[in-house]
Amino acid sequence: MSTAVSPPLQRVSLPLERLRTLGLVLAIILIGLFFQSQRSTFLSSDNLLTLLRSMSSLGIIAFAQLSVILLGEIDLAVGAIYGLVSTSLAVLWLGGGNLPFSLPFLPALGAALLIGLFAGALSGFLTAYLKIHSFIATLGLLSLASGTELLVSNASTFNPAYNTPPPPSGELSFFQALGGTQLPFGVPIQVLWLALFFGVFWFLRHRSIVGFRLLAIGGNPKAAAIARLPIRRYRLVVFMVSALMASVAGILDFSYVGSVGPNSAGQLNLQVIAAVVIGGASLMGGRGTIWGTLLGAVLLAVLANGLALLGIGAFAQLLFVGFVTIGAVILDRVTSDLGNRRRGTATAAS
Amino acid sequence: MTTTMEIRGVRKRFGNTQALAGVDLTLRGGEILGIAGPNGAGKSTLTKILCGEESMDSGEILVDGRPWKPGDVSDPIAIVHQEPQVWTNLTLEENLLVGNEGAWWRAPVAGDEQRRVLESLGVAHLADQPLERCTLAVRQRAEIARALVRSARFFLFDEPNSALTDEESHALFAFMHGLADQGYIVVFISHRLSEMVAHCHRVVVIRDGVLAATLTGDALTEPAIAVELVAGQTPRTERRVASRAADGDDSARVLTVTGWTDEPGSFRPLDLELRRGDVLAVVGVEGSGGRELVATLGGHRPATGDARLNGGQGAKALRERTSYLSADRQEMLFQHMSVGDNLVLRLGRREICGPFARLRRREIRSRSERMIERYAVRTSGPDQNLSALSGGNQQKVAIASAMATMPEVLVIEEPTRGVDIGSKAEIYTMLNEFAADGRAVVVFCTEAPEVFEVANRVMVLEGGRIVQELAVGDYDTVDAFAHALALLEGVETTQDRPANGRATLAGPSDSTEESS
Repeated sequence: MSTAVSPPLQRVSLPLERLRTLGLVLAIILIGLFFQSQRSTFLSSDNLLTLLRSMSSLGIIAFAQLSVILLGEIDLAVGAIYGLVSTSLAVLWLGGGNLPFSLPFLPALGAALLIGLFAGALSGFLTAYLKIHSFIATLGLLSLASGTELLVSNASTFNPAYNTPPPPSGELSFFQALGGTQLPFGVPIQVLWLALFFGVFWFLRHRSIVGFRLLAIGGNPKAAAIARLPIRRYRLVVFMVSALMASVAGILDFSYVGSVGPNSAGQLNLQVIAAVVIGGASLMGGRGTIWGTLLGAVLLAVLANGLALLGIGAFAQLLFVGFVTIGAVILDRVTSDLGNRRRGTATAAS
Repeated sequence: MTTTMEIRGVRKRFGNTQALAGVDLTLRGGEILGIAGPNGAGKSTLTKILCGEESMDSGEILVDGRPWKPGDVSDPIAIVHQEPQVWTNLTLEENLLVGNEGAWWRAPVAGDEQRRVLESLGVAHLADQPLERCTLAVRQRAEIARALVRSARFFLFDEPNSALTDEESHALFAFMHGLADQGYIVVFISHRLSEMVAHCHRVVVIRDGVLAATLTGDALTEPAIAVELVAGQTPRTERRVASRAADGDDSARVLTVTGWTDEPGSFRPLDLELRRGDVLAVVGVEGSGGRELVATLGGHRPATGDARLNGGQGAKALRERTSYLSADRQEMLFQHMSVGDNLVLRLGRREICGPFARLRRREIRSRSERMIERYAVRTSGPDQNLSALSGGNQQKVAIASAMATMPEVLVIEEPTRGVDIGSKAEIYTMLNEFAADGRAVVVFCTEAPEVFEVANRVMVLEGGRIVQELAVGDYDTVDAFAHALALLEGVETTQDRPANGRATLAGPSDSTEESS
């Protein structure tokens, strides 16, 4: 049985998107070679595994953010939800902060995830049902989540291992397993989480009706309404998924780092959007792949890792992220203009 | 000073369709020229070329003997649209100043010229009103005023009064005559033949991309235009067998609505019954409520009243068991996706998915290939990008995708808008076969020949009211039918326009109503 019988459903847009993906791979290789020429440790397996571990959260959140961006929406609250959920978990579980009570381990974990899911549902509800632009809705959520986090935790740092009273050792080792396990060949467990969610989101985006409809709704919402696609439900759910992935990433990072404090998300929020855009997604909706998003995250991780090896500080790294993001979008413009010209269509305007 | 414009040998091709096959036309100042033509005959292509929205493949346009390219900066041409292209967030006066602001260091100020133009249009008292608070008629004046300020010499009125009240229409026509009297070139396009006859000095009919006829003087009558519009249409070879179920048969009822109307009252509450095999054409000009009626029947526009469908009741059943297609292809197709994707997009998990919502691609592919073959969509295959298809083939894809869900009622606005003759026939066949399969089809139409080809019942709406129902079978020739329809469409129902109809939707008119 030949596999050529059934080409992928998204084949049409592939030539251009494949070109983009190839370009991204090329860029990553070139940048990697440059770092290797400067620091021979860059391509060592230890460093590459560190690199992969460092991009795990970024990737996981970015896969979900891609679903949001495919719909032509944006979720600015993922960083804040990441912080809120990990901090909530710590406060609920360990006690302290401004909270007069604490919960047993499992209810605390469940409650933290529910808090994240609720935040996402709120963004989704505001966007899908009250028709508030997601930029504003999630900007509001960003402040709400950050404010709640700081209020509940009283801006203190939580470290389970040194907490008084110390949590049961079984609970501690659960988190150590979640974030600190070494798989065979010294592979950190974060690589497994990244691969797992990559698989799930790749299937949803490229092999299931979910991705098909995201593409349709995002590319032409009016036509989707006429075709009676469940637009509002999709809007609501992508924000919930986005928040859920931010929550999961927050808990995984809390497990790995072993502590959580204010502003734990750092630049994560903007990096997530940068990864999706570098990966070739259109902020107008209707275009973007999981592979591209992964590569976008890899590119950012390579930059951060390589620049750190070169001893360039975090502030200068931000500059590079800015250049790369803008450069990727310019490149995207140029290639898609070229593509349109080659097809010679009059649809360039649409 | 009178201006002349000579259009010489203008040709335009879209893919396989020769939209304009060499149009020669001389326009003279002081004359109101009507341009008529069936949909897809090249009329709208010509107007688009004149206003610079499309380029021409060959031919030339001379203004006062000098070559002129549409879209020139010193544009002498002004289009008055159904939907005026103005800035509703600015005041009437500010609208005249956009693009003509004066020195950068101070706020734009209207000069004598702007005031004179507003005065001459009778809207000077509204100069400082934001246009969002003005009626459609005032916005139209704003558009005309903008043209006058930049000394345009050529005015093209494209269905200008379709959403105006009768009073506003009369004022507009008076103004149109005024422009002509001052020596400007005035072109008037309308679906209402009676208005063409009443206001034009000369009417040209564009058919199949060429100037097919010119009517002036005594020859300029409604029946004459109606006959010219349908001339050359191939008479259908076989009369469709009357597939409609008998009236007494209750099980043959597909859709029944009673007391049916929409929120702004675009049309009066009405009762309607569709039976298996019915193809109902709703006919009416813009503002008649016909388009709105059709959208409510397709479940695309909220409505009140009782709806009973085969196996269901109410708005939910209507949405689930009908398919709707709008008049705008951009609005109902996914240009960024493939032909195959577009064909199956309306289908749900049950039809195209396996476990875990996985798309069954092989089945999707063979399904879309079958549809492509059955409806003769000219494409290289399901993987081809939809945007590469011609308008007619895109339309076939849109209709096929709407049929794929097997709705009880298929609702289509203007099924052959911008479609070449060949595809038109194929689309009529598609619709007829679908109805013959024991379902019902509702189309909103503006063209008599189309109605004649596709429908067995015709409902004519004017001013939100059903003027008459016709049975197409009562007419032997398309000419006779077109004549009958033209007479009905021309009916002016001054008293019966609904108070909240489109005409006054433009804003709270009480504060800014024209004094005239």
